[in-house]
This record gives sequence, structure tokens and C-alpha cells, in this order.
Amino acid sequence: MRGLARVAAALMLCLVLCAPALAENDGDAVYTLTDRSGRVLTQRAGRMYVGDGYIAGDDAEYRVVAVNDEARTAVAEPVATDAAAFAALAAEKKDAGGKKLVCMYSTHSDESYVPDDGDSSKWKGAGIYDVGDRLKAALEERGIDAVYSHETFLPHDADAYTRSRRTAEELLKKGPDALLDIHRDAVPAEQYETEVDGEDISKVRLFVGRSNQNAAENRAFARQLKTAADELYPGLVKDIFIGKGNYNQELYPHALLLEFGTHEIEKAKAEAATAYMAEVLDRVLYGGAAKAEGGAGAAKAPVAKGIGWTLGLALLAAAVYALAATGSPGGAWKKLRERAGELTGGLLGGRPRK
Amino acid sequence: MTIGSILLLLTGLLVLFGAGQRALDRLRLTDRQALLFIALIIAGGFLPDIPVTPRFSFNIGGALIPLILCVYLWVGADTAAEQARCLLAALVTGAAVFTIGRLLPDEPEAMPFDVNYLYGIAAGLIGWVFGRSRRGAFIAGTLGVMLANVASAAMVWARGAEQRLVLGGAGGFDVIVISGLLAVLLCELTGEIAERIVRGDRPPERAFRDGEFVRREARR
Repeated sequence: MRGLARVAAALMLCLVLCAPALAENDGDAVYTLTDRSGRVLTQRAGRMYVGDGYIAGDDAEYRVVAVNDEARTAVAEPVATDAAAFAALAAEKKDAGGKKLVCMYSTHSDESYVPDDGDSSKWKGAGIYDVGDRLKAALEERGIDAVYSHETFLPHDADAYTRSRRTAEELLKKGPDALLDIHRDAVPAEQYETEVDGEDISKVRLFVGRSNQNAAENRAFARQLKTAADELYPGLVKDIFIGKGNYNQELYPHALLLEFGTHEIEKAKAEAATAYMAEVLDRVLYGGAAKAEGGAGAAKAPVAKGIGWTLGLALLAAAVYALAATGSPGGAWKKLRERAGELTGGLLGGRPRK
Repeated sequence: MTIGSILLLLTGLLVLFGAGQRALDRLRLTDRQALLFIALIIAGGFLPDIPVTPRFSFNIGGALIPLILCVYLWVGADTAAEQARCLLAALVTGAAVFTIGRLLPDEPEAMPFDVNYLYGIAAGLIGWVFGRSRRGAFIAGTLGVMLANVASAAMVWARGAEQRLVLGGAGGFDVIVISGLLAVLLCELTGEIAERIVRGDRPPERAFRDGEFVRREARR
């Protein structure tokens, strides 16, 4: 009886913890974002939150200020673009003559295109891998080495990003200039249909997770891609959505999630978009045939900064604790020497007392 | 640096400064043993995963060392009943973590906080409720998360998908570390409060010396 009471108590506690998330558990919910006047800015499959950012196709930047979960709508207000910060982040140059490498994976390994794959979710032969393969081939045609991991991270659940994190870390060990997570969206097809150079293709949405220490760099990278795409192929990059979550993007400043079309669009259109996107990536990462702006150089510095902050904070916390425990800096230092001596047999901090 | 490594470093620093002494005592670990395990988990996390079969491999820091620690603590349990309780707690934790994974929304933005913390807190709570001891809580927290990972992979394999399971690798490392530490922390906080309520101002009746609990002589 007591055992049952324990089970009930534990499950209740878990449910209380999960409650906020369970209330929002509707993966297919499509939210519509409007401005104050009610003009529709965009839609996305998934909840929107106050504080999310949105950079529209015309480069106007918005921030979500209100969300109505019942109506599945959100309202955004225009915000001024921080051009100076963007320019500073984009100013880093890639080392000339280095290898060109882009790594890719697909966290949602089941994502498919209904018109061609027959289902929006397939555990075997998912359509998203056809699109990723086409992007890899298009990059290689431009002389860029591309690695596309066919690892799967099923099921398509809350743990998918935890599972794909290992692959993302493995790919980062190869030292890529960009790490791309290839997805497709789940909004109506017309949101993504476009024509570029007379060809019917799918638009591409760039998705940035704002809950990570690299968010500013991820966002700058996304803006670089959009700027280049707008110049080369207007309409190719649909927009940039800056949402809650980290999407493994805290691992790398040049990590980005790309949505190639939606589940309702013909896969051929998403595949057709890859060649254009490869050219945009080439332009941004390596200067393409014209110029060099931004690049892998931007990807290294913030990592060391993050580690420095972490170690600094840990040391500060330890010093505060030591002071509180001993009452004086001298006492804290003495205690540290004593403990270090005990733990290292006198190697550090003097010989321990017998 | 991942959140798991940061938490371990902080725990190591606290142990170095003498904090968490009572929790370690009740885990029957000395400072040196605790620091050794922390160092091994962090260092092991950087080593390549060990492949067992084409579909299954494990991480030394994220799975093997925590598993060794679990076995060490489990063998050291006082009674067969406590050992059974530890295993039961691990099973219930595994079932709960597996179920939560199925119930939660697909996208990270729909979660109030990182799913790793949620699993850690859930495993910690269940470990604390069922384990009834720091030892039981730690075993339930770490072993439970590993069991949930195995169950999830088994479900995928049963549906014919060829997918690798790396126990304790990358994201899994954080979940296992957070779960184990949080379970002990919850146990420690609640246990201390409960003990202090019962004991009042009287000093503890037992002390931990030379790897054993000894009864303190009453002060006159």
C-alpha cells in the first residue's frame, strides 16, 4: 500500500513538472504571426512565444509581443535592426587557402514529403535524406567538401535533439565551416512555393534557436545567408525565425537549421532549392566567385570565451563558499592548502598532518 | 563545455572545500573516491565511444563509470531489502523517463526548460521517493535514465529501423550526470530537513569514520 502511494506521489510530481509542456503538446499546431494591424507576417508549425524574433523576407525585423494559444495566433511589433552588431559579427574573415567543409545531419529523421513519399513521417526511406543528399551533391559540385550523416534519431520526440547532439559533436570534430540541420516545415505548401530563375522551387526558412550562448552569432550567420540569397536569388530564403530552444546550435556559431519546404510540397521543389542554397552558402562561407564575407573564423572565439566565463564563475563560487565557510581570506587559503595537501599526499599545498 | 561537465566541476570544487560532506558520508564515499569518480566521468566523456555491436556503443564517462559507481554503491547497501529497493527505484525511474519522453512535445521551443533538466528532476524525484537513501536515489537517477534510453532504442529497433544507441554519449551524458547529482541533492536536502526536525538541536548519533558509520558517544 505504501509502495503504491509512493508510485502515485512520484508520478504526480512528474506530471506537475511536465504540465506546462503537456499543455502545449500539439506538434501539428500551426501558429499565425501578424502585426498590430492584423496583417499576416508568417506561419509556423509549432508554438510561438513572447520574445521570439522574426526577420521577414523584406528584412523587416519583428519581436513577438503577445501569443493567443486558443486562437493559435501571435502578434509582433517591428524592432530596429542592430546593424552595428551584425556588421561586427559578419566582419570576421575566413583564412584563405583552408579546406572547405560543410557538415550536415537531420535531427528529425522521419520528415518526408507527402506528394512523393506518401506520408509526412517515414521511419525508413524518409524524404528529407533525398533533399540533404542533393544539397551535399550541389556543394561538392562547387568544390566544397560536404559530409551528410545518414544517422537517424528516431522517434521524432522530445529527445530527438538530445540524440542528434552526439552526431553534431562528431561532425564538429571534422572542423566544418558550417553545421546544418536539414529539416522540412509543416505549414501549408503555398507558404513555401516560389519561382526562381523561371524554375518552380521551394523556399528555405532559416531557423535560429535563441536560448543558447551562440544565438547572436547564429543569427548573424543566418542574416548573412539571407542577404546573399536576396542578392543572388530573391525569394529563395523565405525568412528567418528566431525561436525558443537551442536546437544544438549552442555547439557552434555557424550552426543553423534549414527548412526545405513543407510536408505538402513536392519533394522535387525542395530538391531544386538545394542548388541555389549551395551557391548562397559558397558565397557566404568562401566568397563564392566574388567576395569573402564572414566565415569559419567567426566560429572559434566565442567558445573560448564561454569556457573562460564558466571557469571564472566556478572559481568565484568556490571562493565565496570558502570565505563563508572560514570567515576570512587567510582562513580560506589555509583550508584550501590543507585540503589540497590531503588529497594529493603533499604534492600540492604542503604535506598533510599525520 | 556541457552543463554536465560544469556541474561535475562545481561538485568537485565543493567536495574540495568540504561541502557535501554528509552526502558523501551517506554514499559511503570518501572525498578522494568522490573526486576520482568525478575526474573519471569528465575525462571519460572526452574519450571515443566504445562500440559493442554495430548498433550499440557506450561512452566511458557517461555510462561505464556511472555504472561502476552504481554497482559499487549497490554492493555496499546495508540489506538485501535496500538493494531490491534500489533496483525497483531504477526500474520505476526508467519507466517514468521513457513515458515522459513519449508525452512531451516534439519541438524544444514547446518545453518550459531543457528536456535534460526535466529528466534529471523527474529521475531525482522518483529516486528520492523510492530509493529512500542517497545511495538509492543516485542508483535510480543514473540507472533509470540508462534503462529509459535502452527501452527507447529497443522500441526503434523493434520497428525495423537501423539506429545506433550510444549510452551516455553527448546529450545522454548530461542527462545521466544531472539525474544522479539531482537525486542525491534532493535526498540530501529533504533528508537533512527531516532529520533536523526529528533530532532537534541534539548532535547526530552516528559519525562516518574510516569508511564505517560509528555510534557517537553521548556528551555528558
